[in-house]
Amino acid sequence: MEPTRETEAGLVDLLDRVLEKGLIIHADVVITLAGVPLIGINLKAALANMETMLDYGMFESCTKQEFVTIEKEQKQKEVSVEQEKILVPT
Amino acid sequence: MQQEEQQNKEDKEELVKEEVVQDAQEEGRYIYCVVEKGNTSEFQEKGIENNSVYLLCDGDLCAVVHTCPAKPYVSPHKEQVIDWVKAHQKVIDQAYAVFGTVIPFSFDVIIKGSKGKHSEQLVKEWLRSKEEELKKKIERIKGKQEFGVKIFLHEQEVMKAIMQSNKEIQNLEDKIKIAKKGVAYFHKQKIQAIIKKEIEKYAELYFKEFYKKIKQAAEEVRVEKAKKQDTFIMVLNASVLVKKEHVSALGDMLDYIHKKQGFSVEFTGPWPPYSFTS
Repeated sequence: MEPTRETEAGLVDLLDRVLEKGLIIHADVVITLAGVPLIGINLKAALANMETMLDYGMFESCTKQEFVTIEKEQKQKEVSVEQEKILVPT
Repeated sequence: MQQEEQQNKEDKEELVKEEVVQDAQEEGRYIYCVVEKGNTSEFQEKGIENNSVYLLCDGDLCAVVHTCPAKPYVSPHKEQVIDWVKAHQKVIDQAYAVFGTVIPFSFDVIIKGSKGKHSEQLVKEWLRSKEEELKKKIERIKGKQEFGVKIFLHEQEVMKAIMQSNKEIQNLEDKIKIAKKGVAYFHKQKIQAIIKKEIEKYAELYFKEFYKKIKQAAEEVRVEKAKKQDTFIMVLNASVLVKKEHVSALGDMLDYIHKKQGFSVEFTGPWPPYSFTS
């Protein structure tokens, strides 16, 4: 089986990654945080609310430069596979 | 006292407004990814909205950027966002082809000048301050690619199997045949509940089996949330980091699962290691 990118599934996976993952910088020099309104939610729904949710001033108070991940707090359950404990988002 | 507070608040708001106006006029730098430049010093591409993409380096580490107004790319149109995302990805693909390893950035990360400092200078300062961390990330992903793996179970198939093998369900079905309407309804509800529980059990069983298999071919596996899709049950949704020479082994293994009765597999990539660098 060969991996694909130019399919519907490929586009979904591309959007998942580019909009929700990847490195971001959390600092007072950042004016936008990885398309904030797009994080972790249905793209369509996000688009509708985008303008109201984007707030230039919202990172004003951050003064430290640091990496942050843009994962939202997620519910997880623990599944053991042999010795390994895996956290599975639910 | 209250008046004073009110005045302060207004002053503050005025200040924020002014900053926003000022910021909007400033230049920013849109970041696509970070690379280790090695012996390559030339990189010229066209990025989002045909902007000229170039390298901003501090020592060996470079950010791949373009110059833009200090405001985010925002659109209410999905197609527009998709075009931007594809252009973002294209630049990263090119960088990957040239430099071999890239730390991909999320869409819409823009650095603006601040406190009298130019945005270019801030990007360089950031590269310097994070040098060790960035190099560690590069080591982690060198020679590896990310793939998306989704394994689906056909709901009908698994329901059929459960109905045929579950004694409790068979008993209830026998009862339904002779039961009055109201009681039959109650039994049917109970069957549905059992099926739901059994499906969960099956899904977890298969999850464990497939996770183990995938782990054998992968360097790292990140389990993602399994999303419900109408007639399919997603038993496993994962991002996997794989050594280039192991990709075909992973493909073979997924092929084996894909051909199993009642299963199908989506295998996407190769992607820059979005899931293993943030």
